[in-house]
Amino acid sequence: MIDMITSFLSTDIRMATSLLIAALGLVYCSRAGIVNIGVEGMMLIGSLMGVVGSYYTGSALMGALVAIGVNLIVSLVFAFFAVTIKADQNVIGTAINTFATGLTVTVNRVIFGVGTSQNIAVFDRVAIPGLSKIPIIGEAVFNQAIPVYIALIAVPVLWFILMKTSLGLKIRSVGENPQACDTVGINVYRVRYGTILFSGALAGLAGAYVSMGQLSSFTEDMIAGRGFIALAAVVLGNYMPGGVLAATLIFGAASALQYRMQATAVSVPYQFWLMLPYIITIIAICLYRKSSNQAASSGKPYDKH
Amino acid sequence: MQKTKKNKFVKLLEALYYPVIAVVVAILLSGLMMQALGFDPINAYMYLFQGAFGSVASFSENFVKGIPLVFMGLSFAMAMRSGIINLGATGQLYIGALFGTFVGTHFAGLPIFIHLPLTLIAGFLGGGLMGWIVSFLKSRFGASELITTIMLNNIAIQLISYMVTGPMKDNASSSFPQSARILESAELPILLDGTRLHAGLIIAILAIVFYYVFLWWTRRGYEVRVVGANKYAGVYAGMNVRKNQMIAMVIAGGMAGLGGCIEILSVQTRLMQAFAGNTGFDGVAVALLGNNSPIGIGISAFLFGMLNNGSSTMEMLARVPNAMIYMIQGLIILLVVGRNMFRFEGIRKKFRKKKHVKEA
Amino acid sequence: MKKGIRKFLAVSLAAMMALALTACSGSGETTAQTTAETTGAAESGETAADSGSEAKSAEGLKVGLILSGPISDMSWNYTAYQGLMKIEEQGAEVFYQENVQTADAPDQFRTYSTAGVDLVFVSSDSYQDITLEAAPDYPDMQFIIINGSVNEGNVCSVQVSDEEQGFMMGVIAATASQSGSVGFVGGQEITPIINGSKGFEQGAKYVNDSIQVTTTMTGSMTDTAAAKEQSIALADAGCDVVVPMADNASLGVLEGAEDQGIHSVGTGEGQESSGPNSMLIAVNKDTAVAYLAAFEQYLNNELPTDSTVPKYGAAEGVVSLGDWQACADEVLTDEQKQSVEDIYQQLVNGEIEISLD
Repeated sequence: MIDMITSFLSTDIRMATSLLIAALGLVYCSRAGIVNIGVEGMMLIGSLMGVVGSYYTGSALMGALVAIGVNLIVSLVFAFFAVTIKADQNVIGTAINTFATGLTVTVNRVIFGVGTSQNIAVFDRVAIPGLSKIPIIGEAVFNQAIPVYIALIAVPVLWFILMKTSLGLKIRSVGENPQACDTVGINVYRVRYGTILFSGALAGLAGAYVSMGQLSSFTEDMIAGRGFIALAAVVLGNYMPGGVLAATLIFGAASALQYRMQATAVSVPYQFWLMLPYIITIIAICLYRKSSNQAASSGKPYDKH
Repeated sequence: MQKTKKNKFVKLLEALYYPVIAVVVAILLSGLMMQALGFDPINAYMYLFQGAFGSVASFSENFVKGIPLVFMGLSFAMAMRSGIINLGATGQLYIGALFGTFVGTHFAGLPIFIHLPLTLIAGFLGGGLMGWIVSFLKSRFGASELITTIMLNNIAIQLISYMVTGPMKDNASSSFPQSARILESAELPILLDGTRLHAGLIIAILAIVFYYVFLWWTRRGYEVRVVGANKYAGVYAGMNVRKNQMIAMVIAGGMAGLGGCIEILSVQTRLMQAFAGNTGFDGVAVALLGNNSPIGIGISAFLFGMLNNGSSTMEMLARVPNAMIYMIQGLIILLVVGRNMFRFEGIRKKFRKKKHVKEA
Repeated sequence: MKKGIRKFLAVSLAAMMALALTACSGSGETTAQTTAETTGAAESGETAADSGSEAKSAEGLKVGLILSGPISDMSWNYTAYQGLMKIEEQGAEVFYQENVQTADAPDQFRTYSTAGVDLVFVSSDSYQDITLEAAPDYPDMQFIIINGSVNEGNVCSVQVSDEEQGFMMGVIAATASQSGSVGFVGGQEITPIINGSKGFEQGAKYVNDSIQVTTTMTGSMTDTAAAKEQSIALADAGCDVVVPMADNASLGVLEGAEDQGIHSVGTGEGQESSGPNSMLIAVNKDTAVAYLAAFEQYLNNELPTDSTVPKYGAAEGVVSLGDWQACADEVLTDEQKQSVEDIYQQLVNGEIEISLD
């Protein structure tokens, strides 16, 4: 019984981590008024580039850095169009998703061919001495790959930066009232560029975690909608790092439950178990009503002139 | 403001000017990328072109592939006009197809002029129901449509999977999980012999006209637009935001449902899992590329249909993975919406103005 | 401004026309080196498709392939692609299209017909009904549906014995299981996976009548992470051998078994890198064999015209056992390995009947 709870939590955390990492980045750019639908494509690019980087350098860490680096370029393009050119953010995001689908398939074929297995270095599980011996949660929480720890530590850190520092105040103000920020001398463009790049980098890490932390190879279309779930988790978590942690854990738990229900109860058609995480998420958002922290200028480009 | 016909035409050309440049630049950029990845771009484009314009039949395929995109584009655009981001076209499409398939496979003996409209209405209602759920959850529970539409997509996909592997499975044909074939009395007629161009084209054009008339010529449409442009202005003018958004979402969902239903009644003929591929999200791109305008959606749906159509010939004869076409599509969207980059004229004018101001 | 547009349109039109012209003139011709061997390996008792004509040569033939998924899936579509490549080696000119939506198939047929393709392989029975409707429009093309069930006019079918692959996986899983509980992780509920799961259950029961078989589906052929977590959940539920059938996502099941310290059975060569300590052996399903055999029949005008649909399985080399991996020694004795191989031999000899009801 205890083993099963541990295993359940362990699955929950693995499923939640990629969503959490991507969603934390999205919290920042959402707070600055940027809607980044392109996160799905960025995660996909991250999952491939992580594997490519690891393949050529022999190190998962370097792979993750490659994933982050490539995504910085992609998000620079996003920022250029969304902030400087002032194009519609949903469109840019959609363009990036579409582009990423084509890019990852083509690059994967060019580098790895179509029938070869990818022998790459991956993120190994690292047990934290002491903590991993705590009953039930120790094994589930403190015996995971490095990106899981990064994500868990990032939650309080990013909360602190967002809510308690002047940088966080700047970001939130830019989202609430860019005009006013401009008049008091805050560079709206620079803040928005920064948050977009930050969310792109985290989307890259999230993608790299899927291909090298959860799994150990890239397969075409492997992100399978996780970017959109991360987007939903940001809203469900009410644009707060802690809230996002809770939201992704709820989704991860629903998935973990779904897998286990399929493995035990057979009388219900499996499709209904597959619906479960999505139904639970809808119920969660309906039960959870609170004043929204969505930025007032969400999705609207800021024009200086 | 009085506008003559000629002026409108020039305006249209001007509106097309930047998108055309954007498409050309996107094609050049993708060509460079193909070159870098080791494919021959000129060869690939030749076959892309041949696949889209090589014959009457291949040209008509541009429409066949563009028709569903018109509906998905209208679905997104309609919701957007009322201030809702509808990412749920996929789910609405599937439920519309489900309802349409149910009516289209039953009621044998009905004449086509009753059965076909009935089936289309069922498709519209199926999608509309999904749209209504989104707006209901939003107004009753304050649930963001960004969440509910994405979740409902996944739920609908599983529901279709259950229906075609279970209750609706046709055991008579093969063991492949699919519904029975729709009856001939519910099938959309072919418009042009020797091609697959079907009457869905007419419905698509009617849908575009409806979109235009509803939003710009009716009071309800006016309210929807006001509410979408500025919620507070709408409230101030005594408009019911929830009601208007609900109507817009039902129509939006209905459009996607109708599109899914039409696919079943024309080229698909049977309901099966994942039959729509990426159509739902392509619609987002179509709507946004067309700037949510009726003509824009029509043109960009055709453009996407053409690229999808040509890409299969490109893969077949030039052996370039057809995924490549997504790169081109992505670049086109990016460059079209970023068309401010190409407004050299505008920049020049602004520059001149500034100069004048300075000199003065 | 107006002038600029007109000029631009004229230039682009000219460019497009130039492109179209070159498109028509230059088409790459492949040089053929080998002629097809014309040894008749086909089933007897079937009349030739167009009787009276002599055997065709692979050289100069054009062969097309319609695929429902990507050629990189390391499984169904990958082996189909390999089959096509082998046909190309025989001197035919080959074409393929990936990720073809069912409704788009007739459009691809038209494209193939314009390009002068003689033979079209349709890789899945999801296209069967739509192919049967479209085929009469292309009397000069021969269609072969993999896993189809109909021979009609210029359409004929070839089946791949997915259930035999599933059966052998079941046999191995049940032999290796200590807990008496084994699990199956499928992708989407489509014909090969449905048949595979039926075979799996019968194979497991064949060895151990009281074994508990749990069948699960992830609903996706690409979500590898879901396949991994599903196999971990199966391990939690007491399964100690899990097998995948989900194309590319199969790798996730091997990784999940590795993670949980239980065992798994692979579905193709080269998968052991995903589960070096968990994969006992692979049960390969090489559909390329079926493609080549059907191609041979086509060359010899021996494609079936009556209602018998040939089925390719263990006997024809489509389903085969890979090498025992090192970790197999942990749970299997040499006698047990031998008995698995014996059962495979019985399958080859046609001594075992698998029910698909």
